[in-house]
Amino acid sequence: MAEPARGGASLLDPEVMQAIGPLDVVATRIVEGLLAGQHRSPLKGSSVEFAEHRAYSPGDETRLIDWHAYARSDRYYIRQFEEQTNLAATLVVDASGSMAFGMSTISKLRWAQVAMACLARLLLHQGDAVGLMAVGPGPPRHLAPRAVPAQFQAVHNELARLQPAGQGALAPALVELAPRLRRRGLVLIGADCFEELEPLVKAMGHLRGRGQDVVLLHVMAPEELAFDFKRVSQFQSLEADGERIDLDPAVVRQRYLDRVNRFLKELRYGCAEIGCDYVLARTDVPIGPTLAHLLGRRATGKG
Amino acid sequence: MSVLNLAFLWALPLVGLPMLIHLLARRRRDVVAWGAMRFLLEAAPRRRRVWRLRDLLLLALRALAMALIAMILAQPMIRTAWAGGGAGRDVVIVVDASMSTQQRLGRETAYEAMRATVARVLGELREVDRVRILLASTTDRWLVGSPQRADRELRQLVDEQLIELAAEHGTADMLRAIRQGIDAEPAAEVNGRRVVIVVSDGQAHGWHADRPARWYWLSEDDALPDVRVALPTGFDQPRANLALEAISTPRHCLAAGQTARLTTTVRNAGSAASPATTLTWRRGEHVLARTAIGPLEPGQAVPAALDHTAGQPGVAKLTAELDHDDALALDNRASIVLEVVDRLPVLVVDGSPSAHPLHAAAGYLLAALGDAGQTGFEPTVIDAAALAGTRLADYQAVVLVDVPRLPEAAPAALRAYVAAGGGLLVALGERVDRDHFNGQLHAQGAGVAPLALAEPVGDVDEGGLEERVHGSGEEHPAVRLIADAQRSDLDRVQVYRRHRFAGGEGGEVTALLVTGDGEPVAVEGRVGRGRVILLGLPLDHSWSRLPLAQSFVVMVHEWLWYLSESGLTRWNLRPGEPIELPAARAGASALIEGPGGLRMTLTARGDVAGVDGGGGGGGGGDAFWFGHTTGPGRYVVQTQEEAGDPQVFHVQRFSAESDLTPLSPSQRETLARAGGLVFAADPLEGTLHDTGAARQPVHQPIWMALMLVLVGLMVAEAMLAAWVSRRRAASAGVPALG
Repeated sequence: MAEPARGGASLLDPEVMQAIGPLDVVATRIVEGLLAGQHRSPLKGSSVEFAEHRAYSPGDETRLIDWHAYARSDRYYIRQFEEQTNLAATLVVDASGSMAFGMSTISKLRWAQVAMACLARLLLHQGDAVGLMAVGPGPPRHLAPRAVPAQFQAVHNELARLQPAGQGALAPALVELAPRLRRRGLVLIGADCFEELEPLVKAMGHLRGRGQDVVLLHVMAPEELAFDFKRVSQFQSLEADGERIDLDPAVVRQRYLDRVNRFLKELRYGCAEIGCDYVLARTDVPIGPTLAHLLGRRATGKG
Repeated sequence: MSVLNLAFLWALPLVGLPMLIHLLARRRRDVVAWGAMRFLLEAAPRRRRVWRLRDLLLLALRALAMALIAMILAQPMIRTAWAGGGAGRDVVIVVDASMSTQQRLGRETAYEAMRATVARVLGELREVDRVRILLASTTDRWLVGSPQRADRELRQLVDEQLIELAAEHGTADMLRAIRQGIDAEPAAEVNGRRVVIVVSDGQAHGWHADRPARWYWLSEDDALPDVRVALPTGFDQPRANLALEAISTPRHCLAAGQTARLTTTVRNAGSAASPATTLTWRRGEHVLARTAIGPLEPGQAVPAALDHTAGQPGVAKLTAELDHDDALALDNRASIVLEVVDRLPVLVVDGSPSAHPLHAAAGYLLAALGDAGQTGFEPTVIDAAALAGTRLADYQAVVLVDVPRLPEAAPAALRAYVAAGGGLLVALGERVDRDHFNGQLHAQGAGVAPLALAEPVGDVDEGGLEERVHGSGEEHPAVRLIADAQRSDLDRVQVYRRHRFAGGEGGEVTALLVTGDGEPVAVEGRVGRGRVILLGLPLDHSWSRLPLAQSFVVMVHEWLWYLSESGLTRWNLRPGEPIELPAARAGASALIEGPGGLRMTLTARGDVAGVDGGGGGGGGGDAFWFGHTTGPGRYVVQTQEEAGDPQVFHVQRFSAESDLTPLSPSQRETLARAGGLVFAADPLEGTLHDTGAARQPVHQPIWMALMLVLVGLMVAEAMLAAWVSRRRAASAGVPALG
């Protein structure tokens, strides 16, 4: 069940921010944007610092032709400069019905909201551009990445508006997201991925193919991982209205766990194959350490 | 459909109980809003619907079980013709309850075999049949009077009652009982034919087989029902049966010290020779004498007698019993009750006092009565005028000796006295005023005298009638002795003149002495409980030689004893003769116990005696009265307010019941031909007539069937629940799919 966002500050857990504050977002893959002063972009562009020449090709801007080099070599060369850019991160939040689940802990959606808000603050603080895509029951809502401070409020408001409902539709949303991302950057996904894995992995692979660094925060509740219910209960689906089942948890527990573990394994392997960074985010584990672990791992290049 | 216990239908809403429990259980069930539904569905997808079906089936079974329990408690009945399968039979079972049914063959009596037959017949009757049971005995009576369904309760009740009735010692008239069974009101609930089933021991007595004409009415009318007779097997084989006939004695009332001869007869009423045995006489438990009885052929009889000297005043019961065990033990014993009195007070009203003894009639009477110490008579002589002031109840008998006229109130007092049981001897003579006699004592039949007087016949001075008298017969106890020509000289008494009676012998008047022409000389009449003897001769020798005969003394004694007995309690009764016992006052109570488990309380009434006498005007005293003495045996009456010994009455049994001669094949054939009787081992066989009538719907209980369904339901529920439990337990260990 989604917990209503009561204000911008509510998504910014002071403790979380304290835990991840000293850390910087470090991209370990080939990312063109860096944090100011620390990352160099592999891309060449207009900048004050000359990088090299390259042969002219039709379509290049004529203002970039180095006429001095033409004079020397009678060939057209294009002046290229080292471009000092910031990271363009897109936060993708799954707001399907199953994300509302939370019994002994906060709901998975709440967890994702807080985590994404923290990351947005951090990234904006570093001067990176932050965008948002909310995948809910309707068409995904997209917020283009921007690096202005006011972007946090926009991201925050969009996060707070999220109401979990409907079936998971993360895969088509990611497919739709890909062409919107003109610059290569970072895509942070917070979702439980309770949908068909093959399309989802393909969609994430598609993003990877377009040069995006994809990080999947796989949010799972402890009950979903352990299924340690004792009493005969009725389980009502959070995604499909009227779908319910009465059963004795003890009877189906083993088979359920088998299926969940297989699901986790397939998802993890899928992420590994496409070069996606996979992090299992348990809602019973504090958000701060989880994000710290994520960022720390990326800073060290392990992944 | 109807129900017997409507109140239990209020329990029907309990059907919702399993549903309620189910819903409550569901309400109590935890509800989890679950996200990872796909994994749960994969974990238990296929069984879900099946489980729901099983649960619904279990729920339905339990609800149905609750409904069945409520219905069973309500005891539903359905009205259907199917259960009956046709028209019901209107069955009347006539059970022979006569004494002969107690005959024994080995260890079993015929009555026990008959009881089993009744039980078998009742058990074979169907739901639609109705049955009544008539007991044939001295007085036929209904054991089950209204048509009933022969259910288990009725069968048990009938069997218990038949066991209790086993001690009946009456006699049965089977023709009369069958007629009563046929004439019974048709059972309203059935439209089948009447079937009369007679269950008897087959003793020939009571069947009137020698008079087939009495049975023709039954076979001539086709509308009359079938009569089927079931007889126990084996009881027609030859057996010896010694039987004692009733003990007889001239008088049941004796003076202390008098000797009476008690006689009985031992008869072999069976069909085989009997061995020698002994007959023991007892007074109470005291053995008086033993008489040896030799072997007897069938039908042979030997007399046995006992000269019994009366002891102390009181009532004594004497018993004769054969020391012999035969087919019928009940007739091996006979009893008689004798009453011994200290004195017999007699009031003599002398109407012709004379100083000369040869001319005083009362003198001859007193001479005949003799000494009170020897004869017991205690005479008191008064004149006619003193009669008005005399209390008559103090005397057992009153003798009017040639009384010309009585005081004004005396005739009514005498009538009341006689009606209450007193004895009156009126000896007529020369001085009797005929008009006064006819007007006051006879009073057109309303007086105490049974007959009026006509003009005397015979003239003494002219030689007289030269008639002789004799007793009217040896059967009458008053003249049994003097009518015996061998021992009596009565027939030599000459009569010269005598009074004649007007109106002749009526229905209630018996001649005791008659002339050679049959003219009555002495007659007996009854008024209420008492007796009156009218003698047309004086007690002196002026009109006859009667007082000079030896028989005169015997006659006076016998007559006075005979007259006195009517005022005494009758201890020895014939079956059906009522018990009458004087009581201290009206409203007193007494307990009577008798054969057949009889035990009831009697209330003394003031109008017991004298009622039948008519016009007596309260002549009877206060007394207990019991008329249902149909069963022979011993009846004991214990008054509850007066301390004293219980009064014992003895009702004689029917000697014919000792004759165990069975119905012969020819007699059965006669009955079958004349009355259409069917002798069959299975009396119900072939009685299911298809009358063509519409099938009669009957109320059929169905709770037993519902009970079986309930048991089946519970078994099914238990099996299903166990199976579901086992399946669930097993499914916990099923390996993961895929």
